[in-house]
Amino acid sequence: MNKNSEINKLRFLLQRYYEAQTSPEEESLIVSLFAEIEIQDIPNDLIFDRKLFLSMRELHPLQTNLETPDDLLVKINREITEKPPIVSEVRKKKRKNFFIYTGSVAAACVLFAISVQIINKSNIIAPPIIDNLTESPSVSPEESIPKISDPLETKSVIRKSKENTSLSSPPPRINQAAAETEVVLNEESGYIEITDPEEARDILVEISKLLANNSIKTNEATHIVENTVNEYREITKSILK
Amino acid sequence: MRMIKYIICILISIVSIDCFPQRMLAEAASMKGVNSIFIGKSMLKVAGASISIGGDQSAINMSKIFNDITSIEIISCDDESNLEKLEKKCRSILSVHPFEVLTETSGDGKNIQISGVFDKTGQNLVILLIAITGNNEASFILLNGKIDIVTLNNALYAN
Repeated sequence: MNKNSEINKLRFLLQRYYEAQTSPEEESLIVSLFAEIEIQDIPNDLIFDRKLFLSMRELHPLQTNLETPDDLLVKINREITEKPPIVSEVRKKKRKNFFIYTGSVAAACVLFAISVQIINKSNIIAPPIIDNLTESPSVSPEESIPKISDPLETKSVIRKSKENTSLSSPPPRINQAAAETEVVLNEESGYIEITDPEEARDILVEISKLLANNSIKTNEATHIVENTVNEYREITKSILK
Repeated sequence: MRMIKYIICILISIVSIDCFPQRMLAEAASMKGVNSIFIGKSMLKVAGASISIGGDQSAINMSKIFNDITSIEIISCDDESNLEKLEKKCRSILSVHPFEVLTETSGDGKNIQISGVFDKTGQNLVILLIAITGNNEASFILLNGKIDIVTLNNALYAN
């Protein structure tokens, strides 16, 4: 083969090599061509390429004998594609289970709370409003709400409110009926639960009056005792004199 | 995992049960011939906020106290046949707590005893009991919650 033609071929192959279009056979041909052509015949612009290719041959003399295992690509593909889905599926399952468990626990708790509420408030007295419409004695709404004049009358107010909430004596008017629904009678504990702010306020006022009256009485009593003690001291002093 | 679930369930149940207001005199309230009232915390707050509407000075002074109270229980009975039973029942229920008598006054055939249970600091009352007996009647007013004794004193003797 002519040197020029060899160099031309070499140039052609190098061009293909740098464009990443060469096959392994062509690459080995480049190496062999560089080895065959004398160094003084190689053009200056290809000297660097020659060094590069010959050094590659020196570094990897057994490279041509290396064979990739057939199942290597399959293994790589499995690592890339198959494993992550397995992990994600497990995670998804765990998440799903977690949501199911927490959801069921939360639902159970909510149901429990609701059931307790229902049990507690199952005795809400709904006055027969239809009866109230037909039977409407002349009682004003103001009169229907018991007023406490004396602190010690608290129990009578309690009694009255309990009587009002009993089914045997339905509230006389619609307004009163609406007001009475705000009182909850818990038959199990026997308590009338006050849910009307005005009624609660009245009770608070009465309790504070009771406490205040008691403190006034206590104050008066202590003053009387102090006065008596002072008088006693004066008397004893005068006797001693 | 299942064990944790059960534990969480039990914990939540206990917490939810504990959230419901405790009623100390519930047994006495369920007795025959006994009238009883319960006022919860939320209602006390609402009522306490509007206490100035009534215009009563003693109530206005006490409004600070009512803000910290969690519940009020009122038990009363004017049925002579059940009076002794009620008194015994109330005393037995309340005997669990170390009550200290704060004041006791009597007049018009009625005896009013105010007693309370102090907390560990001795600065606050956790229960305040007003027991009114006499004239074939008995009433027990129980205030649950933190009551600062200084604030109570200031409120009572403000006038």
